[in-house]
Parts: sequence; structure tokens; C-alpha cells
Amino acid sequence: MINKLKQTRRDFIKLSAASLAAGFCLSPLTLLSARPVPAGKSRLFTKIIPATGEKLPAIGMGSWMTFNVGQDQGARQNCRQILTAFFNGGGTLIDSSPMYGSSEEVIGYCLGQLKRQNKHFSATKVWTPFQSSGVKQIHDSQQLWGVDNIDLMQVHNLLSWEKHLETLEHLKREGQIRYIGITTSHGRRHQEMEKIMQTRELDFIQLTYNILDREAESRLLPLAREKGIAVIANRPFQRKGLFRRVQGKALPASAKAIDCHNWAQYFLKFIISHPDISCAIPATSQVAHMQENMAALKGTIPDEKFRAQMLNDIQGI
Amino acid sequence: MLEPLFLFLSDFLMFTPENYVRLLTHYNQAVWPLPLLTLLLGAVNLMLIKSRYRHRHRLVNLSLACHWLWVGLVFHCHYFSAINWAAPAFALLFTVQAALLVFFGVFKHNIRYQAQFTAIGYSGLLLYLFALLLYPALTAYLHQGWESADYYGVGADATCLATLGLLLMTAGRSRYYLILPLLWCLLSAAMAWMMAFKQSLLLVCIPFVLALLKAFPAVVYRAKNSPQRR
Repeated sequence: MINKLKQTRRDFIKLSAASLAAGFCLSPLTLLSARPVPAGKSRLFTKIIPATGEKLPAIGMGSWMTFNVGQDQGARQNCRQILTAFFNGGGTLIDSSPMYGSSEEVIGYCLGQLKRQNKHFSATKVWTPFQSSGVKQIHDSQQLWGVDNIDLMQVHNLLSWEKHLETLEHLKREGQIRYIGITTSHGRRHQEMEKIMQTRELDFIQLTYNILDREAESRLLPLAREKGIAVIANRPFQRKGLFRRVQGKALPASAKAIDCHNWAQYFLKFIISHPDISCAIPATSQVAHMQENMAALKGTIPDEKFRAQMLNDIQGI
Repeated sequence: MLEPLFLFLSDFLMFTPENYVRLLTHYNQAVWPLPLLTLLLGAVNLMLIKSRYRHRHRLVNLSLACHWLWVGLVFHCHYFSAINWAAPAFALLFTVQAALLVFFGVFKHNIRYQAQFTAIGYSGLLLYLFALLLYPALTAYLHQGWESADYYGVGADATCLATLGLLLMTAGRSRYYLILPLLWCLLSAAMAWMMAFKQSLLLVCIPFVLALLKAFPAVVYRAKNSPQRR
């Protein structure tokens, strides 16, 4: 218990120091886009949210499937351990949705157990065809998470986005939520997302981006940079697709140069090293995997040339 | 070709196979030894069908209706809804099927079982026995434990397959009573496919082939009496 506490404190001090150093290095110009902050061996790799300049660790946590465990007490304890590993690794952003079954309620339960209700970055979604039920859903989410305010509220899969964005903009003006955004996944409805990004004031977008699914690079990511929108990358492992692809294959020898010890870190570092990606949100139901994921927040981050090499390596597999 | 379908379905599968199996385990532990009683009731159904007891059809239909209602209210509404927001809709489907069985099978006395089986009736009998005895064993094997098996009268799939089996043994065509069990087979097969459980193909193929034979006997008749055969 004491060791855990010490580790948390140490991580907090490291995070604060890294953030402070990063803050000194930032010019007003860099605040306008989600540019990478250099990470060291022990410092955490953070990005800047363009809308406010707030720093965000570049790896968050998704909860699709993994936190939907209902009332199963054993599985809830496992979720609590996963969340502990996430916080110990320096993570803050947790993403969920009312669409994910009991995930929001389980996250709220775990946060309550860990007494971390308002010490993280909560990101959830509104997912209903009706504007009126959207308002109720947002308040339900706040209660389920057990937080004073949800940090980021997104319109899930662009469902009834026009009506919900009106609500979200209103709630943001009232100070009930800090950021608003829209989401899509599996590379769907990118044209519509682009249209919304051009016409509405968004703080975040969420889309699928990983080493194999890079469609967003052509239009959405440059537009996000231009508009000052932070980008959350979902499906960082293509649900287990990337691991299946590299099953039985050794990591490229060059992976050591970017401090990667396993494929999960390799895939995550590729994503978060993109200058326009703010945060990747892998989901897992195993503590060991969470620890591996969070370790990708530290060490050397690949530059553009190295990213090209990574692409070459993965396409050769 | 299957990718768009997979993407569409993946939106509706919000739990891991492990969590689903754990839920089945908790459910079976909570209701044990009910599966033994329902197995016994399943055997009684067969005895009733073969008997000359006046209310045999009504009793079989009432027994089936009770199972559908139980699965709808207890499994779907109380247990499955904890991890699946669509479960209340499944509960409604099971409740409607129970109501249909009670209304047409018990009150109207329209669903009557044949003691002398036709070829389709024998297929129904095999499907019924499969649902009672082999399907729980198969799911126990696939879910890695008897505690997470799908039992007749308690689990959704086994109850559905057994009902289809019994309805194939009826005298009339019984098309309308087949619709909801077939719909559940499709839904359950889709979920099983998404979770990579191997029973998915079985849940689609067997009931659909048999139900088509039942619902469209003209196809069988024409095939039997085609000019080439004459």
C-alpha cells in the first residue's frame, strides 16, 4: 500500500515536472495545434488540447466491452485493478458511452472505490436519436461516473449530431461540460465529420486511427490541425486485428531505438507520435496489458522518418 | 463481403465473450437445480405427445410458454440486461412468444402435436432431443464448463431450439409460431458469431432448413413428385 502510494506520488511529481517543462517550451503558436511534447526516459508523453492549452497524457483508456461487466463483483475488482494500473502509469483520459452497457456505471464504481472521481479526464458520449432524451442521458452519465462535471461530451457516431451539438454547446456555455466533440469509428462517415468540423466549433473529434487504418491522415487530421481540434484515436489495435497480424513475429530490431518492448507499445507509439493525434484510447481487460500500454507513454517517441520505417516494417509482415 | 455485416453487428455486441460466459455461469448457479427439473419436464412433453390424455396438447404448450416466459423475464430482463441494453427487447420477444403459445396453444387449442411422426416430425423430434441433451453438452464444451451451459427451459437457445423441434411435430403448418423462435435463432447466431462461438452456424442452419420444410411443405411435395422421379 505504501509502495503504491509512493509510486503514485512519484508519478505525480514526474508528471508535474514534465508538464511544467513542456509549458516553458511552448510558444503561442504550438498551443494552436496538438503538437507532441518531447518525452524523456522517465517523463510522460503529453499533448496539448488546442482549445485551452491543457496538457493531456497521450494514452488514455477505452472501455468498449472491457468495462461492461454488470454486477459481477469479481470482474468489477478486475476493472478496479486495471484502472489502478492506468492511473499508476500516468493516464488520465477515460472514454466511455451509454452505448457500452454497464461500462459507465462500472467506471463510476471503480473511481469511487479508488477515490478518484474528479481526478481524471472523463470523456463520454451522448447516444440517442432524440434531443430531449440526450439531455437526460448526459445527466445520467454524470451520476453514473460520480463526477461533478463531465470533461468531454461527444456525439456518439454522429447520431442526431445537429440537435445534440446544440445541447452540448449550451451546456458548455453554462460550464457544465468543458469540451465538446463528435465521434466516428471504423473509418465510417468521414465526409460528414469533415463537414461538421468545418461548420461547427469543436474541441475534440474521435476517429479510428492506427498503423493500418490511416485514412484520416489525408483530410481529417490536417483539418483538425488547422481548426485547432484535439483528436482521440480509437481502435488503436484494430480490436485485436493488429496482434493477429503480427502473431508469432518478432518485433523489428529498430523497435529498441524507440524503447518498445512489445507490439502494443510499438503500435501505440506509432499513433501518438503523429503530431495531430492527441490521445490513443486502447481498451483492455488485463492488468498486464494495461501496464504494457501505459509504458508507451515513456521513452523515445518516433520522428517522421522513423514512422515511415515503422510503416514499411509492418507492411512487410 | 462479410465485413460490412460484421461492422454493423459489432456495434451491438458490447460485451466480451468472457463476460458473457461469466454471466451465464452466475445465472446457472443462481437457478440450479432448475435445469434438472426442466429436463424432466422436457421428457414429460414427449410422453404427453405419445399419450392419449385429452389435454396433452394444452399441457405441452403451457409448459413451453412457461419456459419462454421464464427466459424472457428472468434471464433476459434480470440477468442479460446488466450487460446488454437490447436485452429488454429480447425479453419482450420471449414474452410475446409465451403469450402466443398460451393463446393459440392453450385457449384456442390450435397447436396440436402428432403422435405418429412424419418425416418432418421425426426431424423435429431429433431437434428436440438435440436441444434437450446435446446442446447443453455442446455449449458446456464451447464455454468450457457445465456451469455456463445453455439448458432447455432455462437458457434462451436451448429453449428456442426445443420449441422449434416441438412445433415441427405439430399437425398444422404452424408458420406463425415459428417466426419469433427463428428470429431469436438469427439474433443469437449473430451474437455467437461475433463472439467467435462455434455454435453460431448451427443456430442458423438447422432450424432454418427444418422450418422451411415445415412452412413450405409444397416444396417437399414438388421435390418428391417431380417428373424426373416419376
